[in-house]
Parts: sequence; structure tokens; C-alpha cells
Amino acid sequence: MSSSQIPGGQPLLKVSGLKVYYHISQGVVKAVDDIDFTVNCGEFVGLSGESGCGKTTTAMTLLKILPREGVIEGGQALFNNRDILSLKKKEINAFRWQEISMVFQGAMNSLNPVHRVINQMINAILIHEKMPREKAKEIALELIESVGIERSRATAYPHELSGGMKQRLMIALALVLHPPLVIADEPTTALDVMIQAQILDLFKQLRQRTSLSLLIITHDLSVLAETCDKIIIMYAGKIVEEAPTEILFNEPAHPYTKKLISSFPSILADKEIDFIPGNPPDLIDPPAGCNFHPRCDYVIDRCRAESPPLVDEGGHRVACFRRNEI
Amino acid sequence: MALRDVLLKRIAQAIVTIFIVLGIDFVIFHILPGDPMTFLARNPNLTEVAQERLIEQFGLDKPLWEQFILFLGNFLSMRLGMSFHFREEVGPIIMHHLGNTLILVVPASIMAIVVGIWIGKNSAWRRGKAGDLFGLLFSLITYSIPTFWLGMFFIMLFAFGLGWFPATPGLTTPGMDFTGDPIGLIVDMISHLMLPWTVLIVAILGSFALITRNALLDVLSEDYMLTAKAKGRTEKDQLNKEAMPNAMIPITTVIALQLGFSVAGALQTEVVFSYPGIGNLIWEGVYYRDYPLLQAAFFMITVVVVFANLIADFIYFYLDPRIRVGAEFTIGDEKPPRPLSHYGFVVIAIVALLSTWAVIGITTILPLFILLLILKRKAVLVFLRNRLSTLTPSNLIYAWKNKRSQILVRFSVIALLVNLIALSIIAISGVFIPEWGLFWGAAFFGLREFPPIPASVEYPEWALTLASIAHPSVMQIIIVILTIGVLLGKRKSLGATSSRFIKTRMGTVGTAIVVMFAGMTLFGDIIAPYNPEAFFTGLWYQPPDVMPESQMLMLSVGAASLIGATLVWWILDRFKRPEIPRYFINILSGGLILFIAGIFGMQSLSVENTTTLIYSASIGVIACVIILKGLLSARKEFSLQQSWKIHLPRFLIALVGVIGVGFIVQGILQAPWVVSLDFPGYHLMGTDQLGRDVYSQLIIAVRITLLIGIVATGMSVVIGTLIGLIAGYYGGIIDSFLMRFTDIFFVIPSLLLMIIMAAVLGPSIVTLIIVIGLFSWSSTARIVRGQVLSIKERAYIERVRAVGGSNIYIIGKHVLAAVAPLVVANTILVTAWAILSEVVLDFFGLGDPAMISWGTMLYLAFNAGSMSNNLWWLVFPPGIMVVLLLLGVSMVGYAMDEIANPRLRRR
Amino acid sequence: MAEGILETRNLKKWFTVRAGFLASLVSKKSDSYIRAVDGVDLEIKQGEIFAIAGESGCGKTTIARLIMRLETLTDGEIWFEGEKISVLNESKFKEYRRRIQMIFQDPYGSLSNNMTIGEIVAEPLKIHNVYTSLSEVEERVLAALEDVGLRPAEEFATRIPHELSGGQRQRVAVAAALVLDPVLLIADEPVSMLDVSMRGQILQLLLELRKKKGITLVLITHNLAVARQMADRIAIAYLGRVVETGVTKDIIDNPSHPYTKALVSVVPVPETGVQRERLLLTGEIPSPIDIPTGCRFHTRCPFAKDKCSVEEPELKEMPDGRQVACHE
Repeated sequence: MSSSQIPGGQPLLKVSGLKVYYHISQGVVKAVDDIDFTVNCGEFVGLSGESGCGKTTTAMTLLKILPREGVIEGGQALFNNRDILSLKKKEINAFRWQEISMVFQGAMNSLNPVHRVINQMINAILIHEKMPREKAKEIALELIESVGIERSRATAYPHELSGGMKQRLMIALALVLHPPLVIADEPTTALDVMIQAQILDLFKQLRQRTSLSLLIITHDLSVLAETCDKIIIMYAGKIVEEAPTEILFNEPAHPYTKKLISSFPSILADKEIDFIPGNPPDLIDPPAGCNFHPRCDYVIDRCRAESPPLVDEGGHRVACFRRNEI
Repeated sequence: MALRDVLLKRIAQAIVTIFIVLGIDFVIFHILPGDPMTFLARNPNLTEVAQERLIEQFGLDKPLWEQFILFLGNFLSMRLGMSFHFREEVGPIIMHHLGNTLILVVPASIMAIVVGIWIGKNSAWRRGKAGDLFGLLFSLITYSIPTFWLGMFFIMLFAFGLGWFPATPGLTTPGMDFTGDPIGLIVDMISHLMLPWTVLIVAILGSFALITRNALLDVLSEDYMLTAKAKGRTEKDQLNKEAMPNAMIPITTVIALQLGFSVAGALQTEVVFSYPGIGNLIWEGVYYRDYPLLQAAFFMITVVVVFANLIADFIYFYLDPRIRVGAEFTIGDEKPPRPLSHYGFVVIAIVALLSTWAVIGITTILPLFILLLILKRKAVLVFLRNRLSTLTPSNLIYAWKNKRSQILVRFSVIALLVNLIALSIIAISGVFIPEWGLFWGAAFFGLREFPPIPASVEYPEWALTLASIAHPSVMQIIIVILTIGVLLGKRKSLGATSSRFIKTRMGTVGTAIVVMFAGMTLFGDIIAPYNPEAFFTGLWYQPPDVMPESQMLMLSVGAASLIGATLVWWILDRFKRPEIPRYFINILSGGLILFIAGIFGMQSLSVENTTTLIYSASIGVIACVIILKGLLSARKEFSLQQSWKIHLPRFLIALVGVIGVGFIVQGILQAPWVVSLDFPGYHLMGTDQLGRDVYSQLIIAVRITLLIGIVATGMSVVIGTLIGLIAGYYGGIIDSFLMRFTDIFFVIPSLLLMIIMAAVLGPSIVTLIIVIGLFSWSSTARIVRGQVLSIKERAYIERVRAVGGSNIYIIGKHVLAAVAPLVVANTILVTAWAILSEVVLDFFGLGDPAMISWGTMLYLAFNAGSMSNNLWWLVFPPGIMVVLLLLGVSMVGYAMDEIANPRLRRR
Repeated sequence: MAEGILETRNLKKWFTVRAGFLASLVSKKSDSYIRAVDGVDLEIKQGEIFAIAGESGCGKTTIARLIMRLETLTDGEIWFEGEKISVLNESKFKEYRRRIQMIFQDPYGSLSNNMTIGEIVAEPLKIHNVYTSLSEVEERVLAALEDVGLRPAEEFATRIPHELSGGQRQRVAVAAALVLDPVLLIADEPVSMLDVSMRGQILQLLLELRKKKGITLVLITHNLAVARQMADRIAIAYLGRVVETGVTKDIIDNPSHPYTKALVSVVPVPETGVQRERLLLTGEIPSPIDIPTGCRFHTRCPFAKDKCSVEEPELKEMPDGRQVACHE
């Protein structure tokens, strides 16, 4: 299947100094502004942040499917020590879906409405590997069953299936070449809470059954709490905090993460209504120094001048000067 | 099975359409004024016996509805009546000619579809890059060339000029009998068919390319295309295997609807090549006013088009699994949230139907006006109270402080109400003559005096004073003030869209061409050296004289410096020289306009033409305003040393460009001086078969083309928007009724119907306007309905309805405002189509003989056999002017569509 | 009836499903129906925040649209302040429209971009014609903008919706609803399209409005956590009927209807190390065309008995005041 399976714990993907700007009529939007993170083999990593923080742009850069306006200004993305960003046209086509596959945000119409679902999966296989159509069909049917859909529904067209089923089929499609890394962009946002639970369960089963590593992108922290080993929080194109899930929820260090967690209502506890004052920053000319300083409760002069670096203390990385004082 | 249901529905609709076509056919030939069939009996070239048989066969002496049933019986059993001209049964003649037409149309259409889709596909995939621009330009140009002129051009070039193809008209060289060798026959036919095929393909290619491009742009922005790319598919596969199967669905629908369009192209090609098809038959039918022939030909062609449409529908259903397999369930047509009170329904039905005379006839608006007053008494009172209450002193002061344009709008609305009331009193008190509406319409456009006093009626004194209040030109002025007020109110958003529009390359070029033609219309009298109707006896077919040196020098220097300036400016852009500040461009363009206005002013002074003097003076004033605005904003940003060094090169080049334009304008205006007015005079573009100066005709003909184009478009857009709005918003039965009504007009080849209507009603401007206006509104209706359907679902419409806004309020305030940009863009595209139809109708000899127009010039040139005797100056100049005007208008329309149409908008 | 400001009795809304062209011609069989709202009884008290929660397709939004008369009623009655408003004709109902206002889910779509914020907030006054002069309109608009925290109001009044963030737009929608001084405000998923950090601002605003102006709020939401934080009482809806209603904290902390139990057990929580016994229902919500016979939840209910598939349970009063529709 995929090129080489690196034993668990080893870094599978290492992103460093990634910068992606959108050049549109109103100006240059600094969507992703110099971020670096790693995803190890078999690790489930959560990438969270509010709309416009650059999480989806990061994902699309890894597959080089940015829209025409998106330009990779700099940085590196080493995947099995091969830099994705410098792959040429032919290589990138072979790389896509075989090494990294993706479940898209609008999963509802990510399937081509005029092809049967089974054919879309078979095509995905046959693009990358030469094999008789029958064999590819068998692989596809097996996968469809593993995501909890009966074989008989495989020959249906997308418009005949419900939202939950389409989401499961998108996951099956993403797994069809058993890529080492799967990116799931807001996999459960458009689904009802019951189906959301079923999909999260499916991810947990995949974790036991395969050596898959998964990058889940969502604004919903409670979804990440159940499924991920470590969580990265982004704000206005920069990483503000990264920590193992336990530490992030119990001892959040960055003011933004603190406020984000306290703004999330919980069904179990009596939490006061909390929110972050002000409005999200304008990415065309972001505030000087630390992007979050206009909305932060603990702002000091230094925050307005310098942009705080991401400091790693025992696996808990935080980009805030007053990290230990608050 | 959903598919079976939908197919049955489509077949039923096709049958209904055919019956309605028969109805229209019957109306045209039996009821319309002039009642052609009745004087059938007195037609000289029919023998007594033949006339008896015809009257008996069509029961012309019986009451109308009996005639209709007989008519239906005859047509459905293919007994189509006797032809005046051929004095034989019409059926077999048509069948034979129809066969020839199919040989011409079917291969050409297939080829055009294939090539058109290929061009559209590539230009959509390379959106914005050179490939897209080239594809778009090619389609726009071919879309703007009238087919018959293309045919004449190809014949003169290939047949007579280079001799590649046989110059003899018809399907086979006459007099050669191919009984012996079939291959010879086929070779001969192919060589005859090559030229008409190419002409037809080039003519209909453009629209297919545009359709494909739009459909594909939609599909490429969908989510599943991102999946396709992420799956690692190559660019080619993404386009062909994932995008095209989806794009083919909308493409087949619109191509099916465009089939009527290719019939129009075929008609023109056959006439120019005198190819023995049904088009030629119709040309002769129109020429000899052979009504039974026209009646049957119209019916046969429409049946063929309806049948072709049906096939296209089946292909469409096969392609789209969502219909073939059918979704789980479709929610039934939900009644509009507030059920339509029956009053509302009556009012809307009348508005939709009577609006056909909206622009022309005041007489038909009156009953509607009165009915509205009675039905909606309370609402009208509330409306009036609102309007009047806003005029209280405190509100006026408030309005003066904040929104000055509001006052302008409020007063003009009140003035318009007074005008309308006075108009209705005049209409009712005067003699209620049906043509009154027509007179008012003609007076509105300055073609007749008002009030139309028929000889028999003496108008009382008070009626005359009232008439002066209700005079159409008074209404025109009020409407102009109203529009200025509204535009002033929306300055900010309009400013943004217009600046975006000008930035697009197509927008600028298109506007430049349209401004040129507008200038020609306004200043035609002082540009044209001669009076276009003046005969230079004894000077027929005079080839063009050589241009005198002084004028040649002036023009060439002007043109050279203009082209040089633009080239250098483009190069500067290439080297990323700093963008010139906005205020500078304002001052520059203001200066240019003032410069040209000055030249025209001086010219009209010397020629003592007061009207053009007033025009140039007013343009000069506008130019000064622009310059002042530029200077004012310049005072803030202008810092001498900094900008002078950087912008110096650009300033100089701009200056050179302006002077160049000045030279060109002066050169053109020099014609009357250089030309000696006495015989034989000097003819820049020679003379036509009556000895009239071609160049002067060319300049003056712009007016009638623009007038008919704009008025007919006004009428068709009003009808189309109203029907689109009502059908889109209310849905349910009204929607399906109005949409079936619109689809019929789509399916029927409108050009054919126009030719026959114009032939029956007799050639005159008003007929042209009505005919073009009546048959060009279906595209507007369809686009507006599509847009209204999507707007209706928007959350802000729900919110306003929740707050308590009535349906009429929501349509008027919100839906219309959201649809307006799209309607404007579509209006311009419809204007291009209306101008094309006017030129084609003139070419069929149906233009107003009293008026000079490009189409009539080409019609006379064609009849005078200019192709064979190579009278190129009679064929090329009018053709090029038509193509240039259409190209300019379609470019403007397309650039506007790119901004207004949400689907095409770029991030 | 006195303190009940809004009451619905046996509220029903059935959407007709278009039978095929042939079917309607040949067999004239009656169309089948989507029973979106299938007999709902609600009672909302003055000054209360009442939440209607459930998964998509349970009819909660349709209930709101029926009260606002954005949908025509199939059956049942709507009472408002002791008056049966579901039978009034349009002009009489218009007076009631002033007292009941609604804010919508999509902040980006619910404000027209052809108007300035000032005009949007002034529009309700113009529609209902409740002003003496234009300057009075301006005062009330600026006051409404101040109430929702868009300060300085003059500056916001001249701006266009697409210049504002999601949170600010939702505030404008609230201002437009408040300008007529309504008594009842229906909020259909007011925060579900906003970022989490912005949601608190709007929820806080709604709470202040209740305190300052005593407005009754009906909150439509699929998010039980938000409902728990905001609402005094709650109704859980499933496939067009209410299965459980009562005081929010009691219902969510120890639900009694099986569906509510399952729903509450699967909602993800922003904390780690929480051991919860999850009741994962299999399969999907049945299609609203052929709703299961008897109790509509019996096909997915882990505690279903044969009685459940026969008889549809009615809402029964429980000792602690809640109402549950279950044979258990």
C-alpha cells in the first residue's frame, strides 16, 4: 500500500515556518502566518480555532489544493522526510490521496452527484494503482461495510443518501488507499448529535484497527476532548497553544484558550455564560505584536509591541509572555 | 418511477405547445388587422375555381370559431391549403424544401455544438487567462455578426473573389443532369453546401460557447471538484470525467431552447445563398405576400423545433440521475405563506397580460389603473397618506439635513401621480379611440404630436390645458428627475460597481464603442456631408473616391498618436510604474470630453445647427463638472515635487493620446468642408443604386437602429421582469401557467414569427417595435424568475415578512432591488438581440421604407446583386457598423453580467 | 390562562408530497404527507425563557414559523394573551405581528445588503406606520442600537451589513426586532452560526433584555448545553411531537424519556476524563413520510415493549411537574 510505514511515535508530518497568504481584490490576507507543528504516526491530533484562524488553509496546503488566490509564501512540510510544498505537478498527483487524504467540510456535496458512490471509490483506487476493476470493487465494498453501511446501498447516487450516510462514505473514500495520514475538516459540524456520536465512535474504532494518524480540524473543542491525543489552538493565522488533551483542558496556559474553554457551555456543569469581548481581527492588517492583545484581559505593553514566540515547556507549547504569571 | 412521470409531462407539454402554435398561426392569418385570408378570394393570380375551393375548404365565410375548427382539422390532417404564388397544394412544396433545410441545419448544428462546447470548456477552465479572453471575444464577435451579412461576405470572398466554391446559387449547379452518376451529384452538392455550412456553424457557434462557459464556471466552484482534485486526478480528467458530466445537464437544456435560434440562422443563410430550403420559400412567401404558404411553413418549422426540443429533453433526463432515479420525495408546491387574496390574483393576471402594451399603449393601462383603485381602496389611501405625510415641514427639514436626494424623489413621485391622473382624465374625456394608446406611445418618443386630435373631434379649452399637464414629454422630464434622484441616493454603491465595471477590459472597450455610436447619433447631422436622401442623378454605383490629403493626414496622425500612446501606457503598466492617482484620471477624461465638445460646438456654430450646439454645450458643462471634482480632490492629495517626477511620463503620454483623439475627431468633421456640394460631389464611400451618398446614410442610419432597439428592449424587459417577478415570487399555479406561456415563446423560432407578423402588419417602425418587443421577453422572464426563486429563500425576506411586510411591499422594496443589477445586465444583452432582429427584419424587406437603416441598405444592396458585381462598398460598411455596434453592446452587457450575476462573480 | 402568554393546542403542519404526474392523473390517490408538526401543545408563561430542542427534522423551526404565520396552519390553535390569533385575517393579525418578533439563524443572510443598518432597524416602524415624524424614527433607531450594545449608534447606523462581523449583525437583527417594543421574541437558533467566543455576547444580550424589558423568549436550538445555560423550561421534540417537557435542569440532569436519555448521553463535553454511560441509538431518524405506528420512537427505543408499537402515548403529568409521553 503506502510507501513506508514508520513505526509509531516517529514524526510522520513535520510542518515548519509555513506561510500562506490570499491575494484578493481588497488586499493580502495573511491566512497562515509562520506556523510549525508535527503529527506522529498513529497519533490523533486536533487543530482548533475560530473561523478565519487558518485551520482549513493549513489542511488544504498539505494537499496543495489551495484556490487560485492562495499563495504559499514560505515554509516546509516534511512528510516521511519529503517536502510536500516542493513536489512538482506529476509527483503531487501521485502523492494526493495515497499519502494524505481528506474528508471535506461540506461533506454533504463533496460526492459527485452524477456518479454512483461505488464508482467514485473505484476510480480513486484505479487512479493510483493498476488492478482489475473487480478487485478494486471488492476493496471498496469491504470499506463501505467497515464504516457501517450495507453493501446494497453502494450502487446508490449521492442524492439518494442521508447526510450521515454521505459522511460515512466520505470517510470510506478517504481510507480507500489506506493513506498514513487522513485530514478530517469539520467532520461532524453539519450532523445531528446522535449521528455525530456514531461518526466519533467510528474514528475510535479506526484507531484500534489501523495505524492511521488523523488530523481533526474543528471549532468544537468538546469533539476533540473525546477523540484526540493532543490539541493545537490557532488564532488569526498563528498557533497560540499546543498541549496533550488532558493538560489543555485542565491547565490551559494561553488567555485565549482559557476564555475559549470557559465560553463552551457544558451539559454536565453549571457554567456561567462567558465570552471573549471585541471582534475577530482583520487579517489584511492584523494588530501589531500579539494578535490577541486587543481582546486579552492580561495585556501589557510588551504584548502590543512584540509577537510572542511559541515556547515549549515539556510538550506544552504556549505563545504568551505572561504565561506563568496568570 | 419518477422518470416515466416526467417524460409523460414533457410530451403533454409538447402537444399543448403545438396546439397553441396553431392558435397563434390562426390569429395571425385570420384575426389580425388586414385579415389576409379574406382578400384571399380576390387575389388575381388564383383562378375562380381555385378560390371557390379555398373558401369552402377553410370556411372563410363562416363565423370565426367554426373557421378555427376547420383550420385545425385541415392542419392536423396535413391539408395545408393552396399557395398563391405556386398555385399548387402547399404541403408537398414545404416537405421538399424542409428536407433540403434539414440537410443544411442538422450537420451544421451538430458541428456547431461540438466546437462550441470545446471552446466554452477551454475558456472556462482557463478563466481570466488569455485562453478565456480569446474564447470569450471569439464567441462575442460571432454572436454579433448577422448571419446574412456573414453569408454575403463569404460569397464575395470565397465564391466570387477566390473562386474556391461554385458561385452558382442553389443546391446543385442548375442545368447539369446527374441522372447518370450519383457521385458527381454528391460532389456537386457538397461543394455547394460547404459555404452555407461554414456560415451557419460560425453564426450559432458563439452562443453555444457562451452557454458552456457559464454552465462550467458554476460546476467548477462546487465542492466535489475539490474532492476530484484532492483524489489526485490529472487536470484533464478533472475537467472531462468530473466537471463535464455535471455541466452537460444545464448545457443540454439551454441548447434545446436555443434550437429556435439556429432556425433563424438557417433562414438567413438560405436566403443569401438562395439555397432551396424552407427559408428561401418564406423569403418568396414574404415577397409575394403568399399567406397560406407562410401559414403552413410556420406551422411545419415549429413542429420540427418542438420535436427537436423533446429529444433534447430526453437526453437531459438521461444525463441527470437526480431525475432518472428520482429523489425519495419532493415536497409539493407550497402555497405562498400568506394565501393570495383573489383580488390580488385578478390584479396580477391583468398586469401580466396587459403589460404587453405597457410601454406603448396608455389606453390599456387605464382600465387597470381604475380597477386597481377600486379593488385596493384602503391600500391606495394608505399609500397616498404616506406619500403626503412625508411632505410635512419637519420631515422636509430632516430630509434636507440628511438625505437631499430623497426630496427630489418624493416631489417627482407626486408630480408623476398628478401627470397620470391628468392623462387618464384626458383619455376618458376625449374620444376613447383604441389607437389613442398608440398615438400616446409615439408621442412619448417624439414621433407624433400630442394630444392626438382626430379630425372629427373638437377639443374643449380646459382639455387643452389639461393636455399640457399630461403631455408625454412632461412625463419624460419627471421620469428623468426621478432617476437622477434615485441615482444620487445610491451614489456610494453605484460608484463602487461602476469603478469595478470600468476596470474590466471588456467594460472599457465596450463603453468606448457605445459612446462612439451615441456621439454619432447626437451629432449625425454635422458629421454627414450630404443629406442622405439627396439623389445624385446619373451617379449610380459610384465607387468610393480617394480621401483628400488634408483629411487623410489629419486622421492618420491622430490615429498614430492615439495607438502609440496606448501602447506606451500598456508597456508602462508592464514595468509596474506606479499607478496614476484617481483624481488625475478624472481631470484627464474631463479634459478630453471638453476638448471634443469644443470641436463639435465650433463645427455646429459654423453650420448653424442649434440642436447639436445645445448638445455640445451640455456635454461641455458635464466635462467641466468632472474636471472641477477632479481638481477639488486633487487639492488634498496633490504634492508637487513628489508626484511630478513619478507621473511625468504618464502625463505626457496621456496628453499625446488626447491630442490624437482630437485630430481624429477633427478629421472626421472635416468631411463637409472638403466635399463640394454640387454635382458630382465627392463620396467617401461611393453611392448606392439610387445615387445617394453611402457615407451619409451610414451615419444617419444609427438613429433608427438604436431607437427601435432601445424601445423594443424597454417593452420586452418590462414584460419579462413583471412576468419573472410574479411567477418567481408567487409560485404554484401562477408560476406553472406563466412559465409554460414563456417556454412556448422560447420554443417557437421567434425570428420566423417576427417575419410573418411584420409581413402581415405591413412594414412600419411601430410594427417593428411591437413585433421585436413582443417576442424577446422570454429570456428576461426566465432569468428574473430564476433569481427571484433564490432571493425568495433568503433569510432577510423571511425576516421582513415576519415583521409584517406585505407581498407587494417585499417585491417592490427587496426583491426588485436584489434583481435590479441582473435586469440591467440582461437588458443590455436583450438590446443587442433586438438590434440584430431589427437589422435582419430590414434585410427581409420589412423595415420602414421611409427610414434609412443599415438593414435596408443591405437589403437594397442584396437585391441589386452587389455580390456578383463586387459592389463591396455597398455591403461592407453597413455590415461592419452593425457588427461593431452589436460587439460594443454585448461587451458592455457581458461585463455587467460578470458583476451583477452572483454565480459568475469572482472573489 | 392569565399568566400564559402563548399557548398552542394540537398544533399541526403537514406538507403535501406531490404525487407523480401519472399517479395524480390515473389513480387520484390522495397525496402522502410529511407530518412536520403533528399535534404539539405548548404553554409559555410571561417573562419566561422557554427552549424547544431536538434534532433536525423534529419540527422545532416549523413550530416557530407557524406562530409567526410564515407557514399556513394545517390544524390546531394558537392563543396569544388570551386571544385566538390563528383565526384572525391578515390585517387584524398585523397588529399582533408588532408584539411578536423573531430573530433568525443566519446573521449573514438575514440583513439585506442594499440598505444601511439605520434603514434596516427603521423598516419595522415604516411597515407598521407607528411614527409621527422622521426625526422620531431616528431617535427610536439610535435607542434600539444602543440597547443592543452597538455604540456609538450614529456611526453604526450609516454602515452596510457586509462591513460588520457575525456577532454585530445578529445584534442589528435583535435591534430591528426590539424597535417595535415586542412582548414575545422567538429566536430560531440565534447563535448556532456564530463563533463560540461570540455566542456568549448574544446570549448575555438576550438575558439582559428579559431583565430590563420583561420580554418572553422562545429559544429554538439543537444544542442542549446552550438550552441548559439559558432556558427556565424546555420541551424536547422528536419527529413533530413533544416527548418531554419541564424545568430544564431537571430534564437534562436526569431525563426520564428514553429519547432524552439517549440525546443527553451522547452530547460531547468540553472536559476530559469524564466517564459517562452512553446510550448510542443505531440507524437514522425514520423518514417523515411513513412515521412508525404507535409511539414514533419505538423502532429505535432500547426499552420498547409491544404496547409501544400499537398506541401513541400522550403527555402525562409526573410527580415532579414534568410531562413525559411514554408508556414506561
